[in-house]
Amino acid sequence: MAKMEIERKKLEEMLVALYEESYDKVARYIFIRIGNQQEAEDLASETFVRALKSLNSYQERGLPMEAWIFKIAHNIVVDYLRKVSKRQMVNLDEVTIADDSNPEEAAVSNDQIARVTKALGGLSPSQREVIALRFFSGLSSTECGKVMGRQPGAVREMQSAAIKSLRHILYKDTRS
Amino acid sequence: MSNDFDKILDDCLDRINGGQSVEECLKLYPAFAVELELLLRTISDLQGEVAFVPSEMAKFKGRQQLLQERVRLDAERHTSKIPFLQRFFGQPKLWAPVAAALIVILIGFGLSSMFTPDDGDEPIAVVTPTDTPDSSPTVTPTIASDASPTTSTDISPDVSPDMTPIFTPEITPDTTPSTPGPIVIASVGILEMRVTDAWADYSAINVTINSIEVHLAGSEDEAGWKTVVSGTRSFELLALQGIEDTLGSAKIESGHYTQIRMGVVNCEVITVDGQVHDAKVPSGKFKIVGSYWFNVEADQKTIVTLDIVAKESVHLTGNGQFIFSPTVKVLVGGLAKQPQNGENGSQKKGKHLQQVESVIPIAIAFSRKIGCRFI
Repeated sequence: MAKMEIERKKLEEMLVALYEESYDKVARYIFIRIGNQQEAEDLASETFVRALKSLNSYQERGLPMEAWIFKIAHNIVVDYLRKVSKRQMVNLDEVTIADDSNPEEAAVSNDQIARVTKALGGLSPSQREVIALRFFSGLSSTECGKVMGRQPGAVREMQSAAIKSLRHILYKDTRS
Repeated sequence: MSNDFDKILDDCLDRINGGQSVEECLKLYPAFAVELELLLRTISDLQGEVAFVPSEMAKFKGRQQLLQERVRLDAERHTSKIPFLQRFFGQPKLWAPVAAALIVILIGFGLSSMFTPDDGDEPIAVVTPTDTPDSSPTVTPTIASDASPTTSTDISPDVSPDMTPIFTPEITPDTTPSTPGPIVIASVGILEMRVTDAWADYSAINVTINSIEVHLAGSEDEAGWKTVVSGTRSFELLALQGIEDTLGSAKIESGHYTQIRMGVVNCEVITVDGQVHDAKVPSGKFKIVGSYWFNVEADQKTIVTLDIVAKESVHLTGNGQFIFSPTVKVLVGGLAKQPQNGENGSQKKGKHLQQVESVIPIAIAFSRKIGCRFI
């Protein structure tokens, strides 16, 4: 019993340390999936709280803790998108910009975010996932594979196809 | 071929994620430069367009949520470890009405038993006043299992000598405690109190306190207060932005603590124009009550930081009077092992704690906005 308690405390410590290290990555991952900064920050916090509550299930899975956190973040995003499924993935009115930003910069930033999220909307869910994890959270293809339950080779293939599609969408978008 | 290209692209993407430029990557794979460039620039542009950095405030709030949840789960586990009877009898408000209700039911049951007509089959009829002592031996065991201490006292003069001993063990005084007492925990831990602050629109806010006490959950009101800081201590609230000032520490009984009270002697506000104002402190002491708070673990050190939010704590009334009415966040900090008994001498002990403390992350903590009520 005491051993379990010690083990649990150790995992809690790991999680708290990981919060400092990975909060930004998780928030960016969520942001790119949902397109709302404030919601992304809140959901990133919720991800870690949910992880704390389910630490026992982490022990069973044997994943690196960061990958496990991203799995939880993924589930949270899926729940969130399900709840707001009637809305567009990105609604410009909902994109929050920090209060101290210049209004002109804010408008440009809004446009850029809208453009990127619109482009991401043209990808398959798995491709979006790999782009978010790989380029906005900075995970390696092996780590992405652990989060997504795929082999690194499959992830590489998927990311290659995703970038090509993205290029096509963005280029077409610019031309039009 | 495609597989090779995917690997090369993957390697370049790792490099870009690691801070290298597109050009540096292209130099490494000149044979694939044309195709690679298109894809790498797409990603590079994409990353540049969404340069989202979460706010420090959001990260701070998230951290507090996480740490608060941790303390809550810890408290939950701590509570579940206390045996049921100890938890039950340690709560005067819980056991007293239950016991009273039980007694009323049993008295009622006993009285109704006495006045129930004897049908010859029910064992309970044996204890009615009309029965002779000699008539009862065959039914005695059954009565014993149903009887209560209260009924037994009433009926004992009429019951047969065989029955009386069977009732007796049920009325031993040990089965019901006469008064509820706090849970006795012999061990002690160290509690250290600190203070910190966010920002405000003043030049300085000088606060002088003379005591900090914490209250052990489940203890009698006054007896449960443990002194952590005694004697006058002053701090300048705004100088504590982002840092902490240790107010003092004490060895106190380990357990779960849910209240803090701080004696405030005076508060001085210096406005941006350099004028010094005495802020009115509505009451000498203010009490902070939380629904669940912190545990002081045996042989460990717990750090509690009072984050007094200056801008929400000092108010200017219509007639120019400053009032110090603190809004406080409570952060519960890390634990450090206390020196073993063999290590004597206060200097050594202090040094040891200092060393340990320096490696503690500002971790197990939680913060919650709480109302302070003046007493």
